[in-house]
Amino acid sequence: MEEYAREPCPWRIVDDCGGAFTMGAIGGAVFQSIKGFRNAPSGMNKRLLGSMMAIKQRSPIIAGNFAIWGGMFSTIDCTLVHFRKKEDPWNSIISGAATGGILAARNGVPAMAGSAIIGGVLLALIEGVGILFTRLSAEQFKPPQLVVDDPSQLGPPQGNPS
Amino acid sequence: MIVSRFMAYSLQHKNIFSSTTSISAIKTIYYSPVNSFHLKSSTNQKAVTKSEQSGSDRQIQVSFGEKVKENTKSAWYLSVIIGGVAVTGLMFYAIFRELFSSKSPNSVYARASDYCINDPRVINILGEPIKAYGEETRRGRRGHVMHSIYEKDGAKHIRMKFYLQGSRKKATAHLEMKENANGKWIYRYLFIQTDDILKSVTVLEDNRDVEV
Repeated sequence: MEEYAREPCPWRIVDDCGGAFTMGAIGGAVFQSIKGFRNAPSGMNKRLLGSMMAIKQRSPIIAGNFAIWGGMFSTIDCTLVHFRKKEDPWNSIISGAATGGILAARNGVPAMAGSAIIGGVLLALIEGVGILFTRLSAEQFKPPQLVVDDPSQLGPPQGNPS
Repeated sequence: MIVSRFMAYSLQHKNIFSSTTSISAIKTIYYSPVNSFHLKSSTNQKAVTKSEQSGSDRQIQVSFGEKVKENTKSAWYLSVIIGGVAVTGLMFYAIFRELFSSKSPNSVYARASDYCINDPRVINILGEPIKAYGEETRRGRRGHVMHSIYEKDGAKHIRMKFYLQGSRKKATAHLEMKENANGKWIYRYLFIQTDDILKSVTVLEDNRDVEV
């Protein structure tokens, strides 16, 4: 039971970093294999070889970039959780925008603003998908006759205390 | 699938462009009858024939079937684009309604958690600083709050549950709100129950006897 009661926050950074690395490695491998296959000279063997070369050269870089993104995102998310004392969709949207901005910091202010907006919009879309999914699943699993009794812990009405 | 299709499309075009630029220099030689045999046996014959097919100086006759094919293709691309825009719009609608409407579950949660965090009774029980969070997902995200909206006696009700953690204790907050005649949420009750052995209940709001 203690396992579930543990705070997710500082540990989540490592978790997200590794998850993003794996995601980048797999996605990058698929993408680069297609790209290498198409860019290679003709002949099946050469095409397969070209696709292997592309995977070897490019997909670790993509994975690393993903890992940096994931780790940065999670770090900022946890920082926001600490300072805002609240966990809601705003956290991930703000941290997505901040991550995009910080990681483009070497390209000048306009590039920073651009990637910050892209990061924020992307994370907003992901949050929107999450909200849609929870709503859909809630609709689906709603029991036909809802229990609408007041909770027993509350006791009988005693007037408003405040 | 769409991405790969687009990539294939652009790559094809890149090939054509590069071949036309490289070939244009020797195009004149190719068309002269003397050297044509010599060049045809060269290695990039395939590219030469390709560039000849897509030559811009000659008017290409397009048959009816070709036209139908082309229009079907562009119609398909258009439908993909429209579908993508519609899905994006739906996602934006969901997130905007959740974040910026004062009646959304998220804003109910925001107000209720602010209320709890700043309430002296709650601070006294849980100890400062207090933070609020929702249901924890498998990936350690706790942003979504469990809630359900239902209708009873013709009025919309929302019931919600979220968690509070102070420096001394943890607690679960339960609340129910009812929509009044002006379409605003009014608390029916809001109480917190500590998650220790005592399970003591502290009622912050209770309007149940007022409304009936």
